[in-house]
Amino acid sequence: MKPLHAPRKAQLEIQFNWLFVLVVGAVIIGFFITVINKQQQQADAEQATDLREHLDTAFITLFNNPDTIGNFTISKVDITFECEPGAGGLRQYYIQGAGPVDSTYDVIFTQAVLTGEEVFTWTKTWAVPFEVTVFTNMATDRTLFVFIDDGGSVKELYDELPGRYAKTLVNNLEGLATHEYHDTIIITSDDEALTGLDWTGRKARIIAPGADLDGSGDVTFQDEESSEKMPYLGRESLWGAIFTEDADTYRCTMDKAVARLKIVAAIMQSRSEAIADDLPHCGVSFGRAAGYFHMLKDLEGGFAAIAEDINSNRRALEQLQAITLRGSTCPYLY
Amino acid sequence: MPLPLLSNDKKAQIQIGESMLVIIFVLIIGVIALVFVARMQEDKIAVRLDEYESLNAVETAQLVTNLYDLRCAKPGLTETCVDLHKAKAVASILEDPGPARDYYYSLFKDARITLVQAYPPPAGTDDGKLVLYDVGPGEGNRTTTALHIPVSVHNASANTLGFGMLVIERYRRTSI
Repeated sequence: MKPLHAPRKAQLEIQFNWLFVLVVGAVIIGFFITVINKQQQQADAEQATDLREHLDTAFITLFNNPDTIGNFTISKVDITFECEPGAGGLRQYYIQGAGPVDSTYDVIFTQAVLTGEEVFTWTKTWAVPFEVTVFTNMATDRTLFVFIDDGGSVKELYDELPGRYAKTLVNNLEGLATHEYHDTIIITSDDEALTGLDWTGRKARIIAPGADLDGSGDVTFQDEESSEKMPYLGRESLWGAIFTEDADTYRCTMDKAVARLKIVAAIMQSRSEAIADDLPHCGVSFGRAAGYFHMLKDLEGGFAAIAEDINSNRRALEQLQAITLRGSTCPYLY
Repeated sequence: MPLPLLSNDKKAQIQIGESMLVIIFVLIIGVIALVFVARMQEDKIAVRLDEYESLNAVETAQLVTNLYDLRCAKPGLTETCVDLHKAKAVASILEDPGPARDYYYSLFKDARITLVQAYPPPAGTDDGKLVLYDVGPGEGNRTTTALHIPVSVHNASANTLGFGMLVIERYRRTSI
């Protein structure tokens, strides 16, 4: 066989070398690009997990500091909350890139999706009349609360809402500009004021004129498609109704509060029975108190169905406490 | 006498051999680097787990001392005050599985919480220790992180305010 000429051989060799360099170079670059992508995904997952842990700690801190106002940064990461009514409903929140966190027992009132830079929190103790749990109200800097002034309850609510939240007090909704906000919640005691409203990104809460904010009453959840009335029990649950996404979420979250109520009522019942046995001269008061706690513990149904029963037990316990403490040496009922 | 020069075939083979060696060397370096990064990540995760465990223990302690379920009824008592009757009620409720145990597990996870009454000293055969909550892996499968929180203990029946300790032990599984 005729050997290849040297120049031909050299050309082949050079081509082969280039091909070889290209292939190896592509493999090495591909390897490093893969590593960089993996690192980036890992960093994103770490950030989401860190935020989730931070949120978990924040919720615990909020729970331990009732009746306080706080805030934390979420840096444009969306946090989604789910609370489906019913026994098998989902109760969780999750952050993009991190897994869901169970929130079966966290009584948090917020919009379904928290989006923005900063989240403002406001915790309130729910007592009926004994302290049961802490309600956490959350909203971001992209949520606007619009109060339609009625010179009464609505004005009182406006004054009470902490200044950190974006809020405004108006006489009517003419010219209301809310396009820079993700959510707008309108609070009013006059449903006529909502006539002709553009409902895009907006929802309303309607309370009765002259409503007893610290007692009980009804609040109507209204948006473009639906209108539903739900009871509230105490100012804390009314605020929960204002902060929450809709009637279903409010119902679900208040059911969590009722679950807590039953646990605390069982503890209070046991305490009352023990003191009634130890102190015969306080037996009547503590025996009756044990009865009220027992009734609360055994209430069946969701919050909407038993709100009035809870309220009547609450009033009875308040009266009983006042009587018990009047000039007697008996301990506090709660 | 000069050495005979290598033939062109031999030269080509040597060159290919060299190139292969370079590739193998680069791959080995790459694998070593990957193993090194993986080990670093593992250490980082272990450190973070330890941090979270310590944080969890403190969180549990805060939760226990702030729970309305244990807090003293009488106004004006210190914040870290445990109502003795409530504590006994909690311990009794948690003996049976149910919604209460699910709720407390969601708060405390694998942990043991004990109320130790130091003063007044417990009477009779009572050792003054009341286990409020104890849920976790088996004895041979756990490590614990313990925190001791001094508390006031209010006995509403006797109207006395004593001194005690809440011992909070967080369990950590040693194997899955």
